[in-house]
Amino acid sequence: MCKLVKGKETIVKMLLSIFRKSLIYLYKNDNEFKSILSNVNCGCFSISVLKSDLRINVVLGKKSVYIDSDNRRCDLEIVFKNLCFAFKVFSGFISLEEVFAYKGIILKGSISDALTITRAIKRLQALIFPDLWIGRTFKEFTGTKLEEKLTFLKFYFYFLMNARR
Amino acid sequence: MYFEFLTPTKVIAGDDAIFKLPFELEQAKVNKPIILTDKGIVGAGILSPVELAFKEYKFKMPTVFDDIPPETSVESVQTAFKIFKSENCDSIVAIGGGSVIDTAKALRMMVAENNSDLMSLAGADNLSGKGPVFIAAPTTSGTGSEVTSVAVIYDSKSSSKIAFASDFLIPDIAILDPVLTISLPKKLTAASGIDALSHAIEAYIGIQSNHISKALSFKAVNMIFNNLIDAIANGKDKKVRLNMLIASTIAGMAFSNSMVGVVHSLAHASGAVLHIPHGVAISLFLEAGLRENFAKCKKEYSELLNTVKCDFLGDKESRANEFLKVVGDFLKELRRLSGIPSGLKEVGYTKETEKRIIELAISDGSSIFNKIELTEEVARRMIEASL
Ligand SMILES: [Fe+2]
Repeated sequence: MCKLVKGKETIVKMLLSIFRKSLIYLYKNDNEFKSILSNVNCGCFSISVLKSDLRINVVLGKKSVYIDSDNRRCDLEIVFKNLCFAFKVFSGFISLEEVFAYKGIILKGSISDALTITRAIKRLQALIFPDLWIGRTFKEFTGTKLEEKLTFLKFYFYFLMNARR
Repeated sequence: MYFEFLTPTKVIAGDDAIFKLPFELEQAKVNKPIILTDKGIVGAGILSPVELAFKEYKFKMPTVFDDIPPETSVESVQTAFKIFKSENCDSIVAIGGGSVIDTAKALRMMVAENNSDLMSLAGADNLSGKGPVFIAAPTTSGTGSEVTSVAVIYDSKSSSKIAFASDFLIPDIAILDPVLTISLPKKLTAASGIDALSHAIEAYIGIQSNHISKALSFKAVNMIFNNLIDAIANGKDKKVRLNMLIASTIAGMAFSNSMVGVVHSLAHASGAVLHIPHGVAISLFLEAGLRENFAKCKKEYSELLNTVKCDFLGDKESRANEFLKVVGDFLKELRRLSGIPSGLKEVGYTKETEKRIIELAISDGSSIFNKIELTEEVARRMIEASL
């Protein structure tokens, strides 16, 4: 599948920015998402792709998250070994957990913290992608409540509008 | 389907295999190894054939570091690193069980990265190089650590086990000599054998299982069922001991590539909380873990039944059930013969410890490779089934 997609770097960049906005929103508004991330022992984690400048640093605060993309050193670094793995995760084809299993990631830091982050990202994927799509990706998926999804989408578009201004 | 497979270790197996050690070091152009082992091994005289091997080959007996606890820690690795540096060592020889070999892996990492802060090296595939020549000779038949890419070190600061995973951790050579396991007590023989069995089965049923690792798992399960009871009942039998060593190494090759699952997640967590040996913890959770996976692993269980009962006829469901029954009966017999604990209550479990065990289990890396999600509910059910 991956070889058929041209311009993956641009697509991943776009998907990463959606992820970034979703992450900020969910941390503020979704109790489940925040409670998963509260188990992470590090204050900052980064997600990047090898041999590309795609990167986000997520700094976890008490009430909100701060995200940037400079080259700071985080306590936990999740690095995709190639663009293809990143593309599949951000487009919801596979879970981050699966890429770990495929040895598609370089991980610097605690494996258990990374596992917690995969759970949080799963929650995020469950909300932003259609159930049918995600049901195929996850080990177990019972579906997301419609109201959760609608609320999320409402705020998600609000973020998009804000970003355009 | 996507998988990667790597087993670069040269295996030297059989009677007197340990006598090949100095030759292999010379071949690798090193002459100042550090031997890592533990006091129990030294006390039991297991190091004697090693000393004889060096003497006969006119190879200077290396520095020995034997202060490694049964559950190795960051502190032990740091001490080993200091000695490695101060003695100008150029290679690592591990003679021991999982704890000793994991210490050696961590030491190799620190030497390769020239970094004494072990925790800063935690992670997966994050090392820049292989480090010094590394030879492992296991004194138990269970961990498979002599051929695997993972190490687990106890961190007293966080009271948890920290995992390291990298292809650079895999030993260059594994020496399987039955003389090193012949004096292994019944309990340890049983517990480490069950650990090997769980490696083979969990690697077979996990999401990273593949045709190559399945072939290895299949053979390992077969050899463990055929030899473990004999190894307990007749520990002096070198042939049986060698078979168990080989089975454990084969299972190690399978799980180094396909990894393990929820049984190991619960075992790592309860090991860290209750301070019980890894093999014992595995023996307590194996049946419950396999049952939790039943719905998604019927095909695999049905296939594995061929390793132990190839004449059992039936559909997939009944064959899968039969495999679980065979495993259950096998565990019961091993407990009867060796006296290893049969429930968590015998090893210090209380309702108060349960919360921490669950917390650690669900954030344990092994659960990634399991077909079912390890939720709090699943972990709790596994604990209840293992009391
Ligand atoms: Fe194990």
